[in-house]
Amino acid sequence: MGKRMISNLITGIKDVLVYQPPAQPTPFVLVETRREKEEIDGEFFPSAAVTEGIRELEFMVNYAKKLDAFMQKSSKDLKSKEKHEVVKKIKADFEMIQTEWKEIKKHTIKNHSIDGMYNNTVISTDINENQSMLESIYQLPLNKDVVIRSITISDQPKIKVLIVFMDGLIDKKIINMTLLEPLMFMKNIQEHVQGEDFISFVMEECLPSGQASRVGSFKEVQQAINTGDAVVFFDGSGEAVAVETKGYEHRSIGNPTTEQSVRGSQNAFTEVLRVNTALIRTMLHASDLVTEMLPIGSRGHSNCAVMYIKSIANEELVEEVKRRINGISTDIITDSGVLEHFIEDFPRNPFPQTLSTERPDRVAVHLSEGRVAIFIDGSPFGHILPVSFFTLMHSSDDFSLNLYYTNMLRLVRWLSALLSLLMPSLYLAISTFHQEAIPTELLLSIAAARAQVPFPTVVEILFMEFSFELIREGGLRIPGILGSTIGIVGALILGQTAVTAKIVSPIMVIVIALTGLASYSIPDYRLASAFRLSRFVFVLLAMSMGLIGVACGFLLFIAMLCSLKSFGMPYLAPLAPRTVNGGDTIFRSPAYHQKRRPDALNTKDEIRQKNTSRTWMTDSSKGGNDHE
Amino acid sequence: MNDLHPGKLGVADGIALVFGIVMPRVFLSTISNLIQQDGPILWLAMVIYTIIPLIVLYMMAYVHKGITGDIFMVCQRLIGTTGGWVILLSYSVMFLSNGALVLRLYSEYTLLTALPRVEFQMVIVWYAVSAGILCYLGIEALTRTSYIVMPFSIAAIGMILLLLVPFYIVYNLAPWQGNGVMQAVQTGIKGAGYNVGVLALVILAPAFQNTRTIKKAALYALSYAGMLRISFILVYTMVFGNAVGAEKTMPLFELARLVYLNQYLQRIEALFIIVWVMFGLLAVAGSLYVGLYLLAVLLKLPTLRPIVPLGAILIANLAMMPPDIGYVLEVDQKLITLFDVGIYVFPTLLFIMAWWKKRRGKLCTSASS
Repeated sequence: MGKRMISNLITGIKDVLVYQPPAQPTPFVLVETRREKEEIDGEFFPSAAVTEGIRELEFMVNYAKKLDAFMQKSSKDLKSKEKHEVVKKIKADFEMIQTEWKEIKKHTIKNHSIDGMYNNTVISTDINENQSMLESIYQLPLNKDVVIRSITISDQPKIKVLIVFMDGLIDKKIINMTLLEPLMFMKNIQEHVQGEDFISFVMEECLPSGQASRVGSFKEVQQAINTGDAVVFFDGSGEAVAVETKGYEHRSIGNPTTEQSVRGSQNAFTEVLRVNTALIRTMLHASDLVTEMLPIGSRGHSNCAVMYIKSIANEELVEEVKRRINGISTDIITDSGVLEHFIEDFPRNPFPQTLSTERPDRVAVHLSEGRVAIFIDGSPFGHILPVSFFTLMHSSDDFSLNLYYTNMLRLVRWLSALLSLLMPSLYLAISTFHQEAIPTELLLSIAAARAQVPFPTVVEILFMEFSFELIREGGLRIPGILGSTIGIVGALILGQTAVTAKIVSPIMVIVIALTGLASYSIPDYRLASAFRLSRFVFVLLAMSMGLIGVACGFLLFIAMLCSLKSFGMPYLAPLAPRTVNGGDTIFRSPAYHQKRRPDALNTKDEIRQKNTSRTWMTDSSKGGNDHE
Repeated sequence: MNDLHPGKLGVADGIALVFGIVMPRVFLSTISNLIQQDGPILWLAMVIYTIIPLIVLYMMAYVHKGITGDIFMVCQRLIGTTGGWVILLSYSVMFLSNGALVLRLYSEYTLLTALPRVEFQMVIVWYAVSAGILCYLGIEALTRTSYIVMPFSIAAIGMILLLLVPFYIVYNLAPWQGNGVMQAVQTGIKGAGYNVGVLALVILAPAFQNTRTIKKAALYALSYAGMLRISFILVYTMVFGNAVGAEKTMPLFELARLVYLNQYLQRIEALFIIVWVMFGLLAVAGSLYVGLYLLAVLLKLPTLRPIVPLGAILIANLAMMPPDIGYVLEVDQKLITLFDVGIYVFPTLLFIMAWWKKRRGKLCTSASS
């Protein structure tokens, strides 16, 4: 008894004192064996909608009970023979029930606007109700973009039809030829007037459009209309038909602006999602290249395409990507960069965990390795995931240039990355704390140059770095005509003048200029930005503790990279953890030696090509001397 | 998943972990002390105290083989809960004190070599914070970082040893028996505790894939560390000789100072600081992690991270306790006895208990049939 009390006491104290980590779902790790996923707790509903939804259901149930009672009573009364009084009474009861229904309808419409966009409402069989719903959603008649065209199909019985589309997003010729014309000339529909068959009949036999689908809720209706489709409502039908009628003006396919290359494809993505997916399909003619469309944004209703090759990509990875995208609860997402913030593992880490590219050839290559690509409507950049640090250091030219030149360029890139990260801090550390490491003549030259500069080295570095960032930022926004001016102003006047005015030493200009050039040789813009940010941290570390600070900082920098993951894949794979090298990590091996896909991706099919991928080398040639 | 066993570490991770913990001694004055005792045959002591921990690790792997669970469960099953507490607490003390000692020594040498005007406490705190951050990031990040840094560090040391070829005096290796073969053997047996870090593999066994991984990692790590140490000792002896070599407090730093190729490649000891600091940080972080892991296992804590700052503060304060470098070197000499207990006594005890229980198990089976 005493022992039990003591153990209970110890347990109680431990529960109070010991830190219990918060219960969180296990982070996604791309592993080789299947693991059971933890069940995620139920869906999230806003509490107001839950309360209102329950109330609404109560109203509906009560109304249904009353309607049922009314029907029974009417039936009973009609069986008795006092017709005139009975009919009058039934009419009065029915009017009362209709009034009640109107009140409930007002209330339910009001409730469905809790999320602002009527996403939970289903299509009514009453076309007038659908029209009033559309007018509420699209702020008609105030909003002049949305056009509601009401027509009547001339047959017996006449059927009212509403065609709704967004002016500016549709192609008017398609509307006229594939919707209005066939619908207006529709005949022999008596036997298909009501029920589901009617929609099937219309879709299969009347509408010549290449793409048509059923929609049952106003969420789907909005999605269709807002992206350029036309939606056709039929009186008496609880579903509508969304017809592909996109025809908005868009930028034509041009050259890549941020990823120029000497060789390789010169196409770039545009802002239109379907153009982007089509560009990839022109490069990758795989039958099992799957494009899944996921809607995101409760107000924006943007389309997000997830592309992968089904026979290669890891299924768990694809499910995880879709889970994350479907788990986004926000109003609007307009850019792929914003989408990335919502789905990446470490959004607060400046290092990118996806590869952002505007080149279809790069996407095609990465899809064939087993990665997943995501695109969003309105953004000319696609994101490839998962990626490693080494993937971000590859450029598009690497695939098409000579092997030795490619590897030389990669070496230059890696050295540049190191220079970009460490050069100012190393200069600061050595010139301030460890002058003995500098050769004597150079040391005297530096000392002479710095003799008349009143500021410490760290102030010089920060001043020059800030100026460089100003020039870079200004150069981005300056109009094209004045573009060269910023080069003259920034590089020559500021640099030269600063040295002449003894604000900075000449060697500092060289250090900063080299560092800046080195940062521009990093292929991925966001990676270069992360290096730029880290550089300031290293400068501060060097200022505090010299080479000790730089060494500690560099070690922690590597440790931070080691602890990062990109959608479950370690960021420094295949170096750490050590996995099978696919032949294209730091240096690139010949294409005919790259037999395996990257091991860290744990693809379904690891083998890319046979051991002897150049079978022509083993086969005898037809024109040679050994020809029979 | 249990936060204490974050993933499945492989051979490379194990090698990096052990190498990172045992190697930094080569930068400290351990070599100078030993060369005074043994003379040119010190390399034999290195061989012995590389082999002995390897044998001990294989013994511990045998102990762990039949029993699933962490080190506490293994000890509990073999020698009871109290015995398990004693052993784990002792190992925790060993690793934490090793971490504190290395921290203090590195801080002292930082003041001597790189930053003579910096405040002493600031250096200690700087290293402790850096080691704490490394630990906080987890064992995976720690071992992977060590694995990435290791080849460059080894290459840097190798480069220094090669650049000193003009300074080699082979005759300094004579007489090759030094102060006696038995003296070297004794030094090797006594000095096996310097490699107590190899037991980190057994302590962190649940984080590794299997027993084969642990054995392989230990073999490679101790072999690399042993070869590097032996090469270093031979070069050190050839360059400085016994008498002068015994006076140097920072052997590798002194070797680096000698490097001179031309006016543009001289005085590279300042650049060598980067390698030296990384080694020290990894050793401190590795020792800290293992020490805290043992405490977490004993106290059945769900996660290690909250006690990492406490551990960093603990070793920083421990490191600041000795009044001067002389006292620190004395403590270093005495701590080796504690490490020897960890290498010889506890593993032997556990091995005997495990063997006895397995043997008893077999007898019972045959008796029942």
